[in-house]
Amino acid sequence: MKPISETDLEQLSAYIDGELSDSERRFFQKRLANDADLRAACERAWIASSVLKSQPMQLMPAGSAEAICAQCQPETNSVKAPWRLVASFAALALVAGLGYQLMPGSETPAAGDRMMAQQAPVPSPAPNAAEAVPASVQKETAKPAATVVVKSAAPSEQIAAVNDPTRLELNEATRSKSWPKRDQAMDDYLARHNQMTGSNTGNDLISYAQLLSAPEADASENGQ
Amino acid sequence: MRPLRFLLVLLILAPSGVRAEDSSWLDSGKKWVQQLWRDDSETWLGRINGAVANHNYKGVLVLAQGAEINTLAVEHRMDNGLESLRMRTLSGSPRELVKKGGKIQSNSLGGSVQTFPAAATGQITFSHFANVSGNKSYKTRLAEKARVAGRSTQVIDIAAEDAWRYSYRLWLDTETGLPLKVVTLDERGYAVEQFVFTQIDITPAAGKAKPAKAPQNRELKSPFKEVKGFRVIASEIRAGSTHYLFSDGLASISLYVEPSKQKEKAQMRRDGVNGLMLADGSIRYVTMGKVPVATLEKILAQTQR
Amino acid sequence: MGEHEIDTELVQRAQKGDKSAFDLLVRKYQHRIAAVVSRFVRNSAECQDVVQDSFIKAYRSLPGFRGESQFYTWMYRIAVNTAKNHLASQKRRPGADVELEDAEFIEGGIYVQNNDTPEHELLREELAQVVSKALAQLPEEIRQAITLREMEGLSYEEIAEVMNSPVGTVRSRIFRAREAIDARLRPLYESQRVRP
Repeated sequence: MKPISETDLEQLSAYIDGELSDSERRFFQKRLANDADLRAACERAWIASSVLKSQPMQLMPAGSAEAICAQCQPETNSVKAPWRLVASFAALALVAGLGYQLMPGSETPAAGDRMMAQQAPVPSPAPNAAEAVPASVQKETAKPAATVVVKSAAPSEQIAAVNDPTRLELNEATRSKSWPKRDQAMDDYLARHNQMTGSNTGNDLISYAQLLSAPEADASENGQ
Repeated sequence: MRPLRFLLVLLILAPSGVRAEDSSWLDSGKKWVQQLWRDDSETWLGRINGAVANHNYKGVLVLAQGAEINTLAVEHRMDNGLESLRMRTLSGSPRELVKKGGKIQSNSLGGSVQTFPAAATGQITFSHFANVSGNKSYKTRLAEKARVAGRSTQVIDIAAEDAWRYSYRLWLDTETGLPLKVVTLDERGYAVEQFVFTQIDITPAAGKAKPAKAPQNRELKSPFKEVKGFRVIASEIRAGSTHYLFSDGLASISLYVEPSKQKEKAQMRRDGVNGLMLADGSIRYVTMGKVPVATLEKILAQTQR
Repeated sequence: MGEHEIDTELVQRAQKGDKSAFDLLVRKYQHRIAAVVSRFVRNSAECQDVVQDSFIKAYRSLPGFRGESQFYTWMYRIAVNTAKNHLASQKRRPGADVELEDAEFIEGGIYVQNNDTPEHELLREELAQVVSKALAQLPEEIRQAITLREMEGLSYEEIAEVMNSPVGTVRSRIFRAREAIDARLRPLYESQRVRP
C-alpha cells in the first residue's frame, strides 16, 4: 500500500464530513475514482466514525468491497430483451406505416411519422427491479416534515418519527433556526441544574462527575 | 449388611459415575437457568442494586460529554451497608469529590470545598437504572454480549417510549451486575454522553448490605399534558428565582421562573444538556435538561400559557 | 453539504455507471449492514454472503432509487429482506426467540440480540478500546473538535463557532484526530486481516 499524502488525507477527512467546496469535491472524487488505497482510507475513517458513534458493526473481511463490486453487473438479459422488442415493434411500425402511406387517401407523411413515433415504445433503460426488490423498497418514503415534528406533532407522530430513521435527522431544525445560541448566558442556570440534579437524583457517576466540573464561584452559594 | 453396604457404595459412586460419564444433564440445567437469566432484562437491571451494595470497586473511568472527555479515578466502598464514593480527576485541573454519610463534598485539591446534601431517599449509585422496570416511559430489552475493561458484560437497552426523552444502553458486568459502561442516546441516535471503565477491580464488600429501598412514588401531579412521565421532585427559591426540578426516573428537567424586564431568547447545548431561555419583558423562563430540544420547547410553550 | 448529500451524490454517480462511487458506498456501509444481517443469519460465512447479495441487489436496483429516502435506510431494507429470503430458502425461521419486528434497527443502535461470534465481539471491543485510547491521548482542542463532529454531529462552521476558531483550524484539527486514530487502527486491521 503506497503512502497517501497528507494533503489527500486532509481532503479525505473534509470530504467524508461533506465540508469540501464544490471544486475541491469534484477534484477529490476524481482522485477517489482512480485510487483504491484512498478509498480504503475512507473506509477506515468511516469505521472509526462508527466506533465513536457506538453504532453497531460487524467487520467484513479484507477485500470484501472489491469482491462485491466485481460481482456488480447490471442485469444484461432484461436489457437486451426490450431492445429486441423495440426492434420488432419498429419493424412492424415501419411496415404498417409504409403500407398506410401506399394506401389511397392516406394522410401526409408528417402525420405518418407521428403515428410511427407513437407506435414505437420508448425503451426502458432500467432492469426489471421488481423481482429483485420488494414493494416496500420501491415505495417512496415521505419527506420528513421537520416543522411538524418540532412544533406541534402529537406524541404518536413523535413515536413514528423515532421509529423511522429518515425523520430523525431533521431535528437539527430545532437547534439552529429560531433560537440564537448563547451558551454562556445560561452557565449559572446549568450549574444550579447540575447541583440540584446531583443532590436529588444524583445516583449515577455522571451526575457526580458533573458536580466535580461545576464552577466554584456559583456552587459556593449552596454550601452548608 | 452386605446389601446395605453395597447400596451405600453405589450411592457414593453413582454421582461420580454420572459426573464422569454424562454431565450433560447438569450442563443442560445450567444452560436452562442461564437462559432464564439471559432472557430477562428486568432481572438484569434488578441485580444492579445488589451489585453496588455488595461490592467495592476501584478503577479508571473515561467520561465523554458533548465535546468534553475527562478521565477520573473512582473508588467505591460499601461498609455495613453505607456507601462511600471518591472520584478524582485525572485530566484537567485536579479536583476531588467524596460522597459519604448523606453528603457530597467537592473540592479542587488545595482549594475551596463545597458541600451538597446527597439524595435524601437513601438510594445508592446506579439505583435509578435498577428501578426503571415498571417505568412506563421506557422499555427495556436484552441486547448483545460484549467486553468492557477485560470483563464480560451483558448489554441492556433502555429505549424511550416516546421522543420526549433520550434512551440508554448499559453494559452490565456478567459476574457482578455492575454497570461498566453507559451510553445516553439522543433522539437522532447520537451518543450524548458516555462513560466507560477502562480499568476496574471489583471485590466483595465487607459486612451485610441493607436491602435497597425502592423509591417512594411522590403523589405530585405531572404538570405537562403532552410530555408525560415527568414529576416535580424538588424545588427551591433563590434570590427571587424559582427553580423546579422534574424527573421521569432517568431524565431530569429544570425549569426556572423569575421576574425580568428583558426581552431575550437563547439556546444552549453543553455536556449533553440542552437549554432554552425566553424572557418576554416581565418574566424569564429557563428550561434545561438532557432531553430533546423539542421537549423543552413544549414545556416552555405550556408554561407560558 | 451534509453526509446524506454525499451519499446522494455517490448514488447518482453510481447510477451513471461510476463503479468507484458504488465501491465507496459499499465500503461505507458494509460493516453496519453486516451487523443488521447478523441478527437474522448467525453463521458468519452465510452472513457475509447475504451482505454481498444485498449490495449486488442494491446495485441492480440503483436505477430505481429516486433518493427520497436515505441510501442507508434503503440499503437496510434490502438487507433485511435478503436475509429473510435467505432463511426462507433454507427453510429456516429466524430464531424463535427473535420477533422480526423487534429485530428492526432503530438508528443509533437499539436492537435485539446480536448473534456475534466471540471473535467478532473481541474485535469490536478492541476497536472501541483502541479508538477510546487514541481519543484520550489527543490534545484537548483536537479531541474537542473530533468529538463535536462525530458525537454531536456539528458542521465545521458550528464547531468553529463553539471553539471560537477559524473553520480552517477546525478542519485541520479534525484531520489530525482522524490521522492519530487511523495510525492506531492500522495494526489492528492488519493483525485481524480485515484490512480495509
